[in-house]
Formats: sequence, C-alpha cells, structure tokens
Amino acid sequence: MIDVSATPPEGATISPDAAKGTALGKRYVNASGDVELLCTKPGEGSLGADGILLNLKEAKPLPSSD
Amino acid sequence: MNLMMLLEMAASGLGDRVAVTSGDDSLTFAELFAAAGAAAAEVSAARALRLAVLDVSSLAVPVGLFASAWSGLPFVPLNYRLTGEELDALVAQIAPSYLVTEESRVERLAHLQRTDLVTREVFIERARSGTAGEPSWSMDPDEIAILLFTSGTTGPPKAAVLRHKHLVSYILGSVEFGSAAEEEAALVSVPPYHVAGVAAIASSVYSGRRIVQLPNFTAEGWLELAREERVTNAFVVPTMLARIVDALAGADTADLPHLRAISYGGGKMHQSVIERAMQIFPDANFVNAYGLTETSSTISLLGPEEHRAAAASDDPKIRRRLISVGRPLPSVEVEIHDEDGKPLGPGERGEIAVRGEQVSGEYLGRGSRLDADGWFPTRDGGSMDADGYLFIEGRIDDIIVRGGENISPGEIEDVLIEHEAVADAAVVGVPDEQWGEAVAAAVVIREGCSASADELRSWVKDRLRSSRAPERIESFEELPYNELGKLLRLRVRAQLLGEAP
Repeated sequence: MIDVSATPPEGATISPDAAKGTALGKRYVNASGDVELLCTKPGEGSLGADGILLNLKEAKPLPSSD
Repeated sequence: MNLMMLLEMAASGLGDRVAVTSGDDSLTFAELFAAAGAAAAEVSAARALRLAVLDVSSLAVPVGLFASAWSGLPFVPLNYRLTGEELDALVAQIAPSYLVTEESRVERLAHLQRTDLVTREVFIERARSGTAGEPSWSMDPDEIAILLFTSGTTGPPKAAVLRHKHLVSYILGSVEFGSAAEEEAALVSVPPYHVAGVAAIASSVYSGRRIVQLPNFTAEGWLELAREERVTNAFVVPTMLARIVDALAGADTADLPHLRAISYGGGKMHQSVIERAMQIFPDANFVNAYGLTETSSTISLLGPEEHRAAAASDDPKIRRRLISVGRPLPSVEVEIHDEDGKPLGPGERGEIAVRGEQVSGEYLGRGSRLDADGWFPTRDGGSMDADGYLFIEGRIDDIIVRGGENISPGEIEDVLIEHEAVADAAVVGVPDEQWGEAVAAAVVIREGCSASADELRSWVKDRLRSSRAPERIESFEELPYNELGKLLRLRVRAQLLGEAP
C-alpha cells in the first residue's frame, strides 16, 4: 500500500488482485452498503475498503424527466 | 461537489460527442469544457460577483452556467421577457455582475451601475478563442451555483438559491452517467430562466445527450426542429404540448419517428390533452415530472408504463393517475402535511412537503424555509393515494374559504373541463357578504358549443357538493396565462370583478 500523498516508487505495478479496473461514472459499493464511491477519473486499479474489493453497483435507471 | 465535475466527466469520457446544437452552431463536450474554462478566466478578471445571462436559449447559456461553476460565481439566468424598471431592479439586486445579453439590449442597459455588459457573440467568441486555465473550481458543496428568480405570480420576484450540493445531488440521484446512446438528442424549448431549462443542461451533460436549443417556442418551430435534428427526447410545459397537439389537428400521427420520449411538467396538464398526445405520439414514452425551482427540478414522476396502464384502464381510480404526478423519486421523501406540519394519511388532503439532498428551500436574503426536520413546505396542496401516487390540487394560497369551508379551485376546474362544451376553466374566490368568499368561475366555451351558467352549475353540483357550485360563471374568450403556461389567477379575479388587470 502506498500513502495517498506519497510518490509511487519507480516500476511499481498494480497488485493482480486489484486490477479489475474502475470505470468512469460507475458506482462501487461494499457488501454492507455503507461505502459508496462514484468514479470521476477512471483507472486500471480496483477500489477496496478494509482490504475487500468494492462491487460494481447496478444502475436503476429512471426515465429522463428533463 | 461542483457542477463542473459533471462536465469534466463528460468531456473526458465522451469528449467528441456534440454537447449542444444552437442553430448552425455547436460545441462538443470537450469544446464546452474548454469554453467554460476560458470564459471563467475572463469573468474572474472582471471582478464581478455574479455571472448573469439575459438571453434566449443560446450557446451563452451552457457556457455561462459552467463558467460560473468554474469561477465560483453564482449563475443568474434572467427573464428575457422583462423590460424597463422591473429588469433594472433585478440587475441592481445582483450587482456587481458580468452580464451577457443580446446586442439590441446593450444600449438600453448601459446606464446600470456595477454591471459589465458583454454581447452574447463577444462572450462566445472569447470563450472559444481564449485559454482555459488548469481546473481550479472549488469542491465546496455549499457554494451557490444558481440564483433563479421565481415567476412571482403572487408577489414581487424573489431569488431561489440553489447550491452545488442541491443540483449535483439531483443529477446523481436521477441520471446514470453516459447512459444516453450516441444518437440521442434532447430538444430544450423551456427558457434558461426556468429551473427545467437549467436541469435539462445538467442532466443532458451527465447522460451524454446532445442538447438542441429552440430559442422561441412555436408549435410549428418545435415540430420542424424535432424533425430536422432527429430529436429523441423533449421536455415541454403543458401549454406547449396543448399547442403541439392543436397544430397536429387532423393528423393521425405526428410523423416524428425518432422521438422516443416526451416529458412534461411545470403546470397542470388536462387529461384530454395528454390522452390526445398519446394518440398522436403512439410510440413515445411519456413522463410527467413534478418539481419546483426550490427543489432543483423534479421530485416526483409518472413514468411511461404508468401512463399506458392508466390510459388503458377501465377502473376510474387507475385512469385518474393520468392526471397525477406519479410517485416520488427514490432519492427524496414526500409527505402530505396538515396545517401544523403533521403527516396525513392516504387520500387526505393537505400541503405537499418534501425532504432530500436536492431540496434547497432557500431564498436570497430571506434564509431557509425548511422546518426543523428538513421538510420543505411547497405551498402546493395535494394528496397521495394508498399506492403512493401524488395528486396536485394547486397553490394553497389560491384556496377559497366559503363560510368556513376550504374549497380547492383545481377540483372544480377539473369537473368543469370534463363538460364537453368547456375548453378551459379557472375558479377563484370573490368577496361575498354572506359567505366571506364566493366561488366564481371563468370558462372558455368550445367553438360551436354552448352551455348555460345554470347547466354548468348543476354539472358541478351533481359531481361535487353544492357548496362547490360556482355562484358566478362567466364566459371568457381565453384565460390569461404567463409565457410558461401558469394561470394568472389574480388577473382572472380582477376581470371577474370588473377591475383593471
């Protein structure tokens, strides 16, 4: 784990356990539902909390009203 | 939270898509982002505290909206129908401002103090040719995004305050990012100073849908542009839909094969208009949206399947849902409250109250109207049935008090309009010595039809109670509406009383 403010060491790669990718505009939640994140910048890494990867939240689309 | 976050996501993920079409001109999402940044730099240098746009729907509106968000200034879309002292007073209220307007207005506004005037053309040209700095907007959710002067049908205009947290919560709660297919295009015909005009920009950007701007609504212009631009989605106020339906009189269908969704809101829809519209646009998905300026647009909606089920039903209770505003969005709570703010049960009539992250309920210089538990009293009267369908009965301030009995004008209007000779109806209270207030109705009689006052009185009496039967009924050529289709009750009342409007 690298601190959020630290510079990653040269040659660092994403752990294969956390390389499922994070997609722009998608939401990710933990099992208990008390963590929900919206991806505003995509990347190759996966999001996790307490060492467990977050799951993609299924969209429940509403009809467009404006 | 900042509205710019929505545009930044669209620009990075869908940058080459066209964001907005305005006449022969257009901007992609990436170009809109760059233009917002360049305009933000320009506006910040002017030392204004607000960015105002006094213009019809043009590229200056989305560029101005996002430039405001980028530079941290409230965006103030002003009503372009205002002139003279009314307009001067609003501009004075928002000074010092950077004001984008049509060239023809510049001379007339030049005397106003602490107002940097720039024409729409110059503003857009500078935004296009200028350089955007590094993204530098604040993510403070409490910053003011928009000041919207409400229409003031009951008093002088006041400015509703919408903060970034309200608008962004509304979008994140109701729109999925990038959910629009590439060919989707939304026709925006409501003016930029209406909350639906602002909401249309924000939700189109976040869904990746192209905006097609119609600056001055006519039914013919709407139909032509919808056809030319292969519009897939459109929002209209009820009077617009009524005019579109009229313009297509005699036609079997509208011949707009690309149009998939029509949403409407902002006023009362008559059941006959929506039924006719569903016949003319048989393949379109209809959505009825209810919301207020103070709630960042939609809080409740009746979806396409619910429209079809209601229209096909023989059960009057289900069919009546066509004139409901559907059920609340999952992201807000709606209750019906009594006069003490206590919740009422299914079918009971009271004041519609709403709570949620998108609800502002705040006015500039007057503070928040939310109660201690966060509920916003809308001043709209209504009821909710056991299945959660919300019915609106009109403004509580319009309620007629006759001999101690509260009478809702909307209920009587609905019954009058069901009469085959009545094209439109407005009910107001007029002073009465015996009852305090008496029920008076202005009706517009359909061409080629007739109905006497006595006949209409019995019609109402048979369907409601005798106290609801209008003591006075007068025939009007047409009823006065504002340009967005809101009935001007004070004017109806003045006309009924023989006073100058």
